[in-house]
Amino acid sequence: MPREVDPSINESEFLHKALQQGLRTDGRSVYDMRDVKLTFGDELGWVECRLGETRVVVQVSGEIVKPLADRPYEGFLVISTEISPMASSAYEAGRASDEEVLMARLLEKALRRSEAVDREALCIVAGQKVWSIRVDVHFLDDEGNMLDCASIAAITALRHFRRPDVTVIGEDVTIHSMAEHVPVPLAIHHTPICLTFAFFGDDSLAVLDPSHLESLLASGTLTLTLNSQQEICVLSKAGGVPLPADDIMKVIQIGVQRVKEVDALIKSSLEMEAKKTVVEVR
Amino acid sequence: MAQSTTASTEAPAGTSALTPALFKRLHPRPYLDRFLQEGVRPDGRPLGADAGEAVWRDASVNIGSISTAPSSALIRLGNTTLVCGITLEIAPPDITTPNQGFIVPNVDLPALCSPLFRPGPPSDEAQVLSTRLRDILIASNVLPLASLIIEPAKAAFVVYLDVVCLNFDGGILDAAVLACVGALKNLRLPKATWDPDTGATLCEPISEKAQGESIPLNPLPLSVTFGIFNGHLLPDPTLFESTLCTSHITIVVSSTTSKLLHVYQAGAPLFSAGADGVEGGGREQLKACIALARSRAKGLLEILA
Amino acid sequence: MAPRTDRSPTALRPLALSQSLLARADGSTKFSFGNVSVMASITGPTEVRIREELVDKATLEINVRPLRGLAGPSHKAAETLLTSLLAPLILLHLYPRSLLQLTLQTLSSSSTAFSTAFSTSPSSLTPSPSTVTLQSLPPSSAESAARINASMLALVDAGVACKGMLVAVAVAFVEGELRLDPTQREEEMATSRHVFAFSFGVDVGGTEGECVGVDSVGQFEVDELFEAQSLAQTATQAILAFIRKSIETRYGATGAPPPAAVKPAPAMKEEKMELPEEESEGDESMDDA
Repeated sequence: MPREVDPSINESEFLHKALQQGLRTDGRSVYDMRDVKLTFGDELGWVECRLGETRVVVQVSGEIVKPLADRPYEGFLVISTEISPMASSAYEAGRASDEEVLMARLLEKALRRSEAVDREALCIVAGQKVWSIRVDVHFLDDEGNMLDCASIAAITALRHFRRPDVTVIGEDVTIHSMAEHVPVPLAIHHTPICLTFAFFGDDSLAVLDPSHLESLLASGTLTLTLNSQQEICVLSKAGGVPLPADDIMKVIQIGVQRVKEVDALIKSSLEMEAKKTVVEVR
Repeated sequence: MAQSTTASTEAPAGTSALTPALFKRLHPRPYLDRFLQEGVRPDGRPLGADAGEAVWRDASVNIGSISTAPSSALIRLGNTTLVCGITLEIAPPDITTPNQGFIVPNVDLPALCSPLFRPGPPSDEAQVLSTRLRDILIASNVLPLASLIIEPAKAAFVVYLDVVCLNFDGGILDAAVLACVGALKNLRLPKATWDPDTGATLCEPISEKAQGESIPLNPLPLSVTFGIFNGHLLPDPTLFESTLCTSHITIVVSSTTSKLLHVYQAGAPLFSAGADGVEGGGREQLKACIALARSRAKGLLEILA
Repeated sequence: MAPRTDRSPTALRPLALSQSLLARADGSTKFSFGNVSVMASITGPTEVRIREELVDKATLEINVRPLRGLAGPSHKAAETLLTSLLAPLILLHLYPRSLLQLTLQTLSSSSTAFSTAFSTSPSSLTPSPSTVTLQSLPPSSAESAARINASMLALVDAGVACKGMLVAVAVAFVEGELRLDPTQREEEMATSRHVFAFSFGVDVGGTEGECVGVDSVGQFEVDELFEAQSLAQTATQAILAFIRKSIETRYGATGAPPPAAVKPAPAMKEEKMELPEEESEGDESMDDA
């Protein structure tokens, strides 16, 4: 499919000159994120996140499978992040470009390796039946920084999702329908959120939440996955541009602030949603 | 394939050295049109509603030719040749359907059957055929999934139907359905018992003495495909005719009941009454196809028996 | 299966249509039958790979993506159905050597998994009735109809020239009763499922519509098929009316762009430009000097 058209020299110079004065082409200041808008679907586990024009939809679903022989107590968390040409015609169906692979790996690290979701709580009958939670990430529109958008949508969807209640007597398993027994939320330890910074040129100018144009012109990116307890889950620096360690520390401090804001937003959105939909009657 | 964009039926000027094969390759549409105007098709079959059995290609079935498979069927439909082999496995049923076994059909179009296919992962056509074959077999309930249960929630048979095409010349879905049905008719399941102590299934091997159990089948599905080209209805099109047709209709009928199992039409129906006597209007055309399909199904059933 | 309580058996679920939603696509549409919604995006006409280039018409590429799980052979079959329905309607020869890339993403389709209780204890293992064979086939008729509608409307949004409109709807027979626009649960319990696609437009169906696509599966009589087809025809006419109304609201009833605001030209100065007379396309009369 058509290659991404390289930005013109005019655009590149304009962007750089503006950044040197601390201005961004869409009017934000350098460390401002675009507004995060979260929408919840009728189904539990469906969340759409919009970061400006960037749109990502996540659907969480669960099924019961046999666990691995060497890990009989662990359930599965499967994350699928195939990018279709809907996000932009630069993405080919069926072939993952380098950025896609990097993004998939970062999401994987952020959600699975950070042990955000407790996989041992997904066990039903050790060695025989466990829950396999599937997170399908659909990228609808790529206006830059799909990774951050996807991570916010994914962790919100995981917190929104509820699985059916299960009763185990001996080895007999009864899965209650969502209408009979109140569905059970997943055991989530913390809320990891990815924040991406883009760096430009030799003076290592940094911006948070790069737009599409900024992503194309950046010389390198740094993705921090932080949670609101000020812990760094993943730190990934891509692109070869050298950065002074002080700049990285400064950027981390900014990230910690932003993550608190995003986390508060996710919490309040989930609470508002919980008031609207009746999941349990007390 | 180079295709002429003109629909004219006149031979281009100055082509005194134009052999029929060359004409067919360079101007496929006029080539086919010439035949149809004479009321005949390129392979000699007549065109027309009153042509009877002659509109169909010769079909032949050879059951049980593969000795290593529990059951198999080799089908020839004109030049199209394909073989279906059945393999059996045992697996625990899905937790949400504890009383059902599994039927897993798969159609393979290897590179040997046609230059259209390259070696590698299954092509789009193969995937589409596998899906439609599975839909037809499940909708017809020809082999009830409940009859494959060995022990509810613990063990059930998995019936793999592997359909391999050896020569690709149109009518693949029809041949695939016929092959699966032929192979299923001949299938015998080994006697299997679930041992609760070991948690395993014990099977009696099939031999001269223990022939296994044959499963009573429900009414068999029989598939018939039609192509529409330039106002003519072409029953059982060959590959050459198929690529030129603007729309296709597939009808799957039941062998004993009057029910239809699958109807698929993709593309516009005929408009005006063609020379073959099929009235205008999509519904009339569908009715005509269903009637033709039923008569063909009778013939196919006799071949299977 | 319980009779419908929210609507009559021959009524559609609430339809929803929104267009031009995506910033990176040339045309995009989200179409919903009740809570089954599909988003379609189209990019094109755009650059095509040499090996897929067709010299006399556009290459139509279709990708179908499910909401849950990865795309499998059944989605390839959906792509093939869409191609055979859309290719005759789009005026592909107006865009030679180019690509029309259509992507469909199901955004919502309620899952019926775990809507009834299951148990592995022996006492509860009663065999299910075998009359409902379609339970083993995942329900997808309403989704398929939504896909067809979303694709057509994305083409409209992108301004791709077509001969007419393609509208589709799903119908199912549940316990002998004909139900229009079946829910997922109704599709699971159906004895037969049908998707009908009708084309509307000059020479391709007029205002009545002409049936160009049928995808029926299950066990049904010929009369049932035609009864379903007639109901579908009426339903697609209603859906088309809804679409027309929705687009008219957006673009205005005549569809013409708003008249240009013409500012009066400033008074011409006396200085004459010593330029050779240019051939202009305007309606200035060329007075002979």
